[in-house]
Amino acid sequence: MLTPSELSTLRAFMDCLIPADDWPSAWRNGVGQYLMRQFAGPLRHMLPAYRSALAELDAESVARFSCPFADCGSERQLELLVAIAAGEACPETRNLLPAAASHAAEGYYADPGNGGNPEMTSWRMVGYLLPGEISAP
Amino acid sequence: MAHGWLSLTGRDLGALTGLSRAADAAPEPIQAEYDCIVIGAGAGGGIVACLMAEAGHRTLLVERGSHVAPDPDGGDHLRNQRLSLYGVNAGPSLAENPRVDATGSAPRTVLATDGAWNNNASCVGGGTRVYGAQAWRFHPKDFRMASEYGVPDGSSLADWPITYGDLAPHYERVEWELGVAGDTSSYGYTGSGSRGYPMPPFPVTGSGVPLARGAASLGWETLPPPMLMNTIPYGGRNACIHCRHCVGFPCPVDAKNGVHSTMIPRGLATGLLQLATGAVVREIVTDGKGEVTGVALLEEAYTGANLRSVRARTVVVAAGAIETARLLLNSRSSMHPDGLGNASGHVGRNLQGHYYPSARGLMEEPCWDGVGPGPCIATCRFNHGNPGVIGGAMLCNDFIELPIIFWRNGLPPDVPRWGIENKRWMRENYRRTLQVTGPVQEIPSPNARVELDGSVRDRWGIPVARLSGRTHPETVKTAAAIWERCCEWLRASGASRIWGGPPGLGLSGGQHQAGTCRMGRDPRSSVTDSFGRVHGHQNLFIADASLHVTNGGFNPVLTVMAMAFRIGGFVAAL
Ligand SMILES: Cc1cc2nc3c(=O)[nH]c(=O)nc-3n(C[C@H](O)[C@H](O)[C@H](O)COP(=O)(O)OP(=O)(O)OC[C@H]3O[C@@H](n4cnc5c(N)ncnc54)[C@H](O)[C@@H]3O)c2cc1C
Ligand code: SF4
Repeated sequence: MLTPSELSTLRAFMDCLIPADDWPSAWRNGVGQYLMRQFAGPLRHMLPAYRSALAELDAESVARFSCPFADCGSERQLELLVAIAAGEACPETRNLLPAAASHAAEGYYADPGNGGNPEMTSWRMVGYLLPGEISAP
Repeated sequence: MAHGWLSLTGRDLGALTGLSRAADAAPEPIQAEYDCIVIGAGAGGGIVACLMAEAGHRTLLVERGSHVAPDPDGGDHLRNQRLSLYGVNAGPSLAENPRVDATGSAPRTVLATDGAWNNNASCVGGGTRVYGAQAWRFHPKDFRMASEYGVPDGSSLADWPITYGDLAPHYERVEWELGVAGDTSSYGYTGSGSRGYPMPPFPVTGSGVPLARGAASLGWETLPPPMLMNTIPYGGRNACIHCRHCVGFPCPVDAKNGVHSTMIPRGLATGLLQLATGAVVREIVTDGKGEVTGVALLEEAYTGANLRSVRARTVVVAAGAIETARLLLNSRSSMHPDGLGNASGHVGRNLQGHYYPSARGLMEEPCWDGVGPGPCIATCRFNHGNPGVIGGAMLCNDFIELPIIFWRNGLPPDVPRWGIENKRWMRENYRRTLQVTGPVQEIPSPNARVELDGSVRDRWGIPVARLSGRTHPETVKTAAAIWERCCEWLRASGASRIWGGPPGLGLSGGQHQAGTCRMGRDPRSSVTDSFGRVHGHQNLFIADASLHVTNGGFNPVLTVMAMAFRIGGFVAAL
């Protein structure tokens, strides 16, 4: 569905939306799995918008940092996204941002049945599952 | 993958689940004639159908949706009756059932995943299959709003043709025959003589503790919200196991008392009630004299349109406030060119639901303890007597919110929607946020309407509902005043910051939809009489939220059900 290079850009993009701290980043908590399912289903119509945003992100990253988005490091990724959110670059990515943030959150915080949040990690993180409540596999 | 997190409660869900009861048996063929046909197996229809069968009438209960079973994994957080981003869990089937949203400048065709569709539910049990089950009686003054407040310009505010006293015995029947958990000791306004509730209330949980303290410091009296749920085993069903996804989902242990688990099984046990699922009533049929003789329905709706007519002495419409109006408008004939019951043009007008101002407050310490269903403290102090506005609302804390719903609705406006700050906020504050909210009594407008769309049809070729207009501006004023009270309560409870905001002018229907076929004394200004009998028709009744003249400052279902007991008793005795 997505090329390997598109996938790694998408991964870096999602990990900017929900970065790692002492809890996992978006991608590590299943947002990739969630999106792949959605792109084959109800979010099929969003795929072209994601594709052009990913291409735009890479082009801008190469122009600014001489390096594709996925490889330019989290500080530069963040710097670029902040510029985009402020309307200074990548109009297509900017348009996609609210929806992309929502999709990232859906994968991260919704039930594992939807493909993301495999061990209900985010539920333990926010306290929807209390300490000691571990899923019975 | 089996998540099985519910089993953390240590209960054997296999033994407790109501799944087997919900299984479809081979359908019994629909006969050519019944004593009574009830359309819609929701709150109103389920009760009337049971009472008719118990009184000895051969009754057909027609439901366009199907049975819904609980999900053993807890449920889909993105496709339920509270967050329907990509689907619904209790109907209707999406693409088959469009509606037209004509509230904006360009009418749009919408599906039930769009808020503008105004979905409740479409399945056996209707809204009660997945509801939150707050079981409020309306306030005595809610039945006489025009007398209490006068009629603002442009509104259709009116008194009911019955009083609270007329409904009180029927409220009590719902409370005991379906089962309500609550505490009447502080339920002052219902008057004396009440039998109380059959079950003790839900306990005050973590989030209720600071709110109880806050209310006490303000001098506000509080009470536990009455719930149509079992706090102890009741009626042969289990007690609640306090799960965390109550509202919008079927109960995993059958502790939620909807018509699917109480009145419909009771009716079926008589042998005189037949429930036909997956069957859509297309229109109510009349003869050459304009008298109702039965219905035309599409059987096996999902496999093909097999249109047939079924005769009955009595027809009771309980399809929910939007679909009941649509069905009457679609039942046209030379004698009733504008639809049944619509001689005075009132069918479909006065659509109202509830404005729901909500405020959230951030607490110093976590107060969330994960004990479902969630609402555990309420005040009825502001249902009436709010200076400068009409009516008011009951206030209470809300059901446990799914993390993804909190992400969408719960964050303060200045928290970024992405990045580490967003995540930090989720981490630190999900368990520290309190929510206070209340169903504001709407001031009805005749221009808030259900009509038929001229061009869009459903999968069976039936013209769909077209929703237009707005509530009355007075509703917005009341909502703003109630929102201030929500904030005041949070502040007094120790919230360090408060956010949210009162809603602006719009159309509201949704899960609390009501009012489209008002009852009244005068056929020129109402659709039915005080027993739901459609003016000018001896044998056509309505028994759902459509009848509500006004929708109270409380969640409406106990009133829908009490009205159904009153109407069902009346019709069964005819
Ligand atoms: C998630 C959720 C939470 C809620 N929480 C609360 C709460 O806490 N307290 C409260 O008081 N209320 C609550 N409600 C609202 C409550 O469920 C409704 O007020 C109530 O169900 C309305 O009853 P009704 O009989 O008017 O319609 P419904 O219960 O909607 O029943 C109508 C039925 O008719 C069927 N139907 C429609 N058209 C046709 C047709 N042409 N042919 C055949 N069948 C048809 C529909 O499929 C549906 O099943 C909630 C609702 C939801 C969905
Ligand atoms: S909170 Fe109780 S009544 Fe509600 S769904 Fe869970 S177990 Fe059922």
